[in-house]
Amino acid sequence: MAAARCSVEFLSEFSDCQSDSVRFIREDTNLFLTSGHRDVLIFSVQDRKVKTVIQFEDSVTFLDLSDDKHRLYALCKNGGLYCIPLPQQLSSSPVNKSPEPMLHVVSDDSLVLKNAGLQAFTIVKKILVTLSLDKSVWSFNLYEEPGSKPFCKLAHIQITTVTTCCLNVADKETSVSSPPVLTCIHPEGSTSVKTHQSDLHPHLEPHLFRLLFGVDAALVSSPVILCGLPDGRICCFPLLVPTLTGPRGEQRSPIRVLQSLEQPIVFIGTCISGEHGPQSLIVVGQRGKLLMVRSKPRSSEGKEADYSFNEHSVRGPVLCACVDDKRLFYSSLNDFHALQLTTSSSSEAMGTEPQLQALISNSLGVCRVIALAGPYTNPTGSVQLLALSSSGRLMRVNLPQGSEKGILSRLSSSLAGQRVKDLLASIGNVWERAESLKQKLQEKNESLKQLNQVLNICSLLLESNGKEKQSNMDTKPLISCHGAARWSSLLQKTSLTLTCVLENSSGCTLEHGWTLCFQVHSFYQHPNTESASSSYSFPLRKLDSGQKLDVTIPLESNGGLFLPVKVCCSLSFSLCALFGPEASSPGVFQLLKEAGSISATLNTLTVDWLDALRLEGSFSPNDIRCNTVSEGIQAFLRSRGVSTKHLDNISNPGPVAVVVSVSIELLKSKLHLSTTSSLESSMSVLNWLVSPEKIGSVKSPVVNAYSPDGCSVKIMAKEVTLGDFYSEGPLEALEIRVESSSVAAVCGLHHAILRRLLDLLRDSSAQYSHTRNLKAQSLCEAVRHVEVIYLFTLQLFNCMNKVLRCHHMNHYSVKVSEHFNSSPEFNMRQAMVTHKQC
Amino acid sequence: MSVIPCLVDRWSEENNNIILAWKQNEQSLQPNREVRKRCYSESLKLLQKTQGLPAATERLKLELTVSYNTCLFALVFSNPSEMEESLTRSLFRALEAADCPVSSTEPVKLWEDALRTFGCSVYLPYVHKLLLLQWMLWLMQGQLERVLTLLTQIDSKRECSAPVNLQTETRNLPLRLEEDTSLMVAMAAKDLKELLHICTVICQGVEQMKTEKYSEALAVFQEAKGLPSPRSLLAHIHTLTGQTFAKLDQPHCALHYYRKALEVDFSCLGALYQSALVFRQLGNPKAEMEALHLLYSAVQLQSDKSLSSFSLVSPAMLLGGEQMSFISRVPSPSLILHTLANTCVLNGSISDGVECYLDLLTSLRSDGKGLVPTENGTCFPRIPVVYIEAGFALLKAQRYRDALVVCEEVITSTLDFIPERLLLDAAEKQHLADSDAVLENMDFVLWAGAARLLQAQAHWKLKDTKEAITHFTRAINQLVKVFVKQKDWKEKHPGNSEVMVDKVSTLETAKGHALAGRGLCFLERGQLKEALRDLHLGLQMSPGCKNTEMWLAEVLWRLDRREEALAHWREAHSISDRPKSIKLPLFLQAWAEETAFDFSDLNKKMEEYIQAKNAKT
Repeated sequence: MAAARCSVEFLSEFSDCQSDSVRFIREDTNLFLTSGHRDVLIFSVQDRKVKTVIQFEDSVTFLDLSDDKHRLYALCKNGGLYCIPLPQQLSSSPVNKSPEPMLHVVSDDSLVLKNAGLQAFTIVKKILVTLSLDKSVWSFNLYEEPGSKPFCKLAHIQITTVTTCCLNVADKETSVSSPPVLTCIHPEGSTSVKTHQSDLHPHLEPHLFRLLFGVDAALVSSPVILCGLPDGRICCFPLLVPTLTGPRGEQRSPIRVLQSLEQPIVFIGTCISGEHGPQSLIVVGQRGKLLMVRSKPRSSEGKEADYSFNEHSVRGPVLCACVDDKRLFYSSLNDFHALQLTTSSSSEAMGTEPQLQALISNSLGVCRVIALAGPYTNPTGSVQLLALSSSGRLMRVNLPQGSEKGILSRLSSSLAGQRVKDLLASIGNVWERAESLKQKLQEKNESLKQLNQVLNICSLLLESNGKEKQSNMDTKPLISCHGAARWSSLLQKTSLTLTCVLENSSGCTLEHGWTLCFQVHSFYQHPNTESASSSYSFPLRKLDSGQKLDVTIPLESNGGLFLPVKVCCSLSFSLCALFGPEASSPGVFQLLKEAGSISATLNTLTVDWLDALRLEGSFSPNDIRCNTVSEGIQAFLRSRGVSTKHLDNISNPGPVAVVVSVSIELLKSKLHLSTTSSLESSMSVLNWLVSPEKIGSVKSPVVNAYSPDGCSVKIMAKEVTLGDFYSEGPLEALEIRVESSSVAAVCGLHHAILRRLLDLLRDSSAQYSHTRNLKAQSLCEAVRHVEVIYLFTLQLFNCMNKVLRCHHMNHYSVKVSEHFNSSPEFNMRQAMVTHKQC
Repeated sequence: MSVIPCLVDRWSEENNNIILAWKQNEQSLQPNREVRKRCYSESLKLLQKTQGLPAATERLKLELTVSYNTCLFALVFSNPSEMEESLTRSLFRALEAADCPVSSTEPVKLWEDALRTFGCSVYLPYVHKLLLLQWMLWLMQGQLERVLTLLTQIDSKRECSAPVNLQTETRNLPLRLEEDTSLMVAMAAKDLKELLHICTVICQGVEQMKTEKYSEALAVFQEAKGLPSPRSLLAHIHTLTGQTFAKLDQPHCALHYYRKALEVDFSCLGALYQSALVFRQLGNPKAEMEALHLLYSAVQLQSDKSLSSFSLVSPAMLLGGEQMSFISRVPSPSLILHTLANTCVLNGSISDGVECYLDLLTSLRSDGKGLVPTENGTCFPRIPVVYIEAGFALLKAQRYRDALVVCEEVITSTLDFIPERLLLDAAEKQHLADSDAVLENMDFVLWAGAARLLQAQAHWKLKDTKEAITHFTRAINQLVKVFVKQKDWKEKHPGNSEVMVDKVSTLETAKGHALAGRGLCFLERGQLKEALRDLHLGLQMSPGCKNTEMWLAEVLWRLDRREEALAHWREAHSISDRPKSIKLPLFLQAWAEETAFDFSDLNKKMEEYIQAKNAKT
């Protein structure tokens, strides 16, 4: 279908409009407009500006002018009907030259009527007709206009609302919201309205008027008030006919229901001019029902003349409508249509029923029109409509000329080009929107996928943790982390680092968003630092299944190296990673930030003195720097030629030694040693202690190494027989002896060895079924005792670092030595681990 | 607490100033509506101020007085529910001030509490003022039952066993209504009480009239007459008394009271209208016409001036719209005019009747003020009927051309509604035959036929017999469109409603008139055979028409069928001039006069013939 294009002029722009309460009426060159607010604007179409603003006490829902156009009536939301004389400058428009609109505030004094149920009103022939709804009764009240306040009530007509049980709730709501429509239809020939106002007052040809509204109204030439109620009924009553007697002599109700559209009524009007006036009454419903009432010609058989109701349907919702002589203009939300109402002459000649013919509707390409005024014929003869869009734009729509030919004729090339441009632009807009929606959807899917994977991984980790507890590390967890301490030198400074390997042998991929976290807890808390632990985190980019990730973390905290160190490693996932910060709303983002992370513990590692030993031969001794302060001072003094002999004597009172004896049988069974030779077993035990990951690296029963603080340490192992220890006879034991000039090293190593032994026993106690009473209790106590000593030593060295006072240092070192030497044997004995038969 | 007495003084002064301003306005010649509004808003403000403080007995008098005044001013600006709310609030505060626990929010209960609490305190007059307001509000809402319960509570000492009656209760109310000169009120409580009393009584009487208990109503109104009341209200009481007498079949007593009402207040139009009705009942058309004339001119005068009253409390407010419209029920001017015109034409004052009809038609066609639907129970005849009646009046007044024009209007307007054929088959489809639509269609046929008939008569009077014959023929064609299947359906079918019977007989009469009319025209043109046929048919349709019989005799005479002529002549003389059983519409009633010519010639001929015949035998 060829579409007619109309030209649209933008006249002005107002604020947003509420579609159900926009009213505007045109009077000469002025436009009275309300958009559901408190203001009524008087807009001059010529000057294209608002001349006057009339402000009411509440938002205005309905407007009308009095017959003589001297008074403006406005119905406000509070149920008050106000009447104000129109400002004078309207009649003499050129007087008001000031650019600013004038403001009139309407006070309470202009209130004419007040009734909360007031819905609509109209003024016809100096009679004010109001329609109000009160407790399911629609009442029409007629008042004299202009009258003294309070208005003198002339008459009162009532009609009850129908119960709308057949309509669903949504319908009910809309029917409540949409106001009733009041239209006055004049019989043709009422001379007073035949002047310029004829377009404001619809009229009907006498024949149809008589048929529709009765003999009485026709004889008296009474205007008829037609009311489209929200329930869809079209009621009518003659305005100026007194209450009449019915056929039985009873009182006749003046009100009559013509028809019901069963949907809220938007518009009532007349159209299709014939010889004697418009030949058709037209009613438009909100959901697109269109009712045309036409008179049937009196047939040749002399049958009484009749009128016909023809119902058509247009695509709803219809927001507003108006009629031309032959066209109905209506606005659905998306488009503005012109509907050709005339039936073609051929069908009329054939006498066929007009409803058989489809009505031709044309889109005019204007959207979101919510109120219409017009049509008007301007001096040049073209037909114009005034339309107000929901965004508050006031437009003048110039309709295409020549209704019959113009619409169907070919479009001119420029118009076609314009239309193509419009179409392309709108296609572009739609594509853009579709694309953004698609992207959003994709993002959402991805997030969900990721979240699913995260949850999978979490369950995997938790499962493996549980398994670990049950069966003692029989199966390797699918995602694991293990590490080893290494010495590395950087910028001429050697430091102890922990190299950890995260191994992903599960089927899942650790995606972006996962973080590998380490928490390093130092055994000794340095008095200067707040916390003994430091944490490191490594965000993963992507770790596919089977891949490994190496990370190295320093073990020295800011106060130096304090062994042993406990390292907890865990994997955590932050939910924020699921959404980009711009994708989600700030509220959601905040929520995720506060409580949005999942974390699962992987492993806990301990690095002790044994791990930190540097075996002789594995590096050059030159690399060992003077790490301790005293050595540094000594080196400094030496370089200055000062004799440090005295100092040497103090600091090196001779090697300190500690001995740990362990039952051979126990070690053999725990470490799965098969050898019988004492030398080999000693070497194996040493190897287990010093470098458990490299079997066979220890070639002699004596291991020479350097402690982390750079002192040389000697660890020896030999088999001995303890005769006096065990009551059941002599006990074959392995004696592990640690010797060093550094007390700290000895203590640390001692502690480390005992701890390892304890771990060994702990692991085995659950494993072995034949119960042996292990002296674990005493071993624990021994470990605790050593720990105390070790802590003491650490404190001592700390003090040495702070205050270099020889005698002080001396005092401490002596004290420690004494402590050791006083009852080393006892200590060792306590630490002895034995088998004892039940 | 030294501030409080000072505040009381200041607020009392404020209250008195408002009242003084109001009194001044009330006494001035042209009271200003705006003053009332100002008084209301100021008084309301003062009330809000006094209620801003916690309730206490030292301010109770002031607060109750201000509440009373505000409520009186509010009558025209506020709605009853708001006023009642405000009243209840005042009562609450009064009880609060007296430290009385409030047991219920139900007004009746609240009043019981209040009256008991303040039973013999100095505050009683103030509480009683509020009680008057409550009485007023309930009276306005027509809740007489509640008024009765309220009033019985006033005298708490009285035993409850005695039967309660609103009439006796209102007669001796132990109200204490003494005024306090330091606190002025907008309307003296005594005046208000009197007004309330009379209005309550009237309200009661009207209720009884509505339930058709006329003798009880009469007793109530007789008592009301003795009570002090404003002039206009007294006139209404007299009118109501007259109405009850009229209902009790004592028209002369009724007339007496209507006259009394008019003596008291000449603008009591209800009395005038009611007396017109009584005159009609008594068959005194002259007096009726006079009354209607007076009524019409009074109504016209009254519609010019505005009716708004400026008194603080008017009976109209107290009695409510429904009651008031019942009391001062006057039909719309157009209906009065129509009744007047109809009565005039019926009773022979044709020229007056024509004037009235023409006035009526102009007012109908022009602006139509006063023609808009009214709701007071009376209804106007259908507009085509008015037109035909006007045409008939014009015809009688020998304004034939005008009559033709008026009738033409009816014909064109009814043309579209006339059915091709209307078959009344009462036996088969009674429910259909008697429906409103059928009745209305019959009306259309009758109107069109009658209009044609009148046109034909006008042409006949204009001596245009040819044209007259055409119109008579058309009238006949219209009227025969209603076809009744059963011949003697009147007797056989009692199920046929009276309306239907009336309509059919009217149609038959009209048919008879048309046929007879055409017969006469033929006679004038000398077409005797046609004349004979039509007159015969006409007589069949509406038997018992003396003039038709006479004309038939004449035709037969001319045709030289003397025996038959004699028979008909004798028949004609035997028909008495008794009124017909069915009430014909105005436009068909005067057929007798229309066709009454000088039959002396025929009579002479007949008498001669009889004598000759007697001589022969």
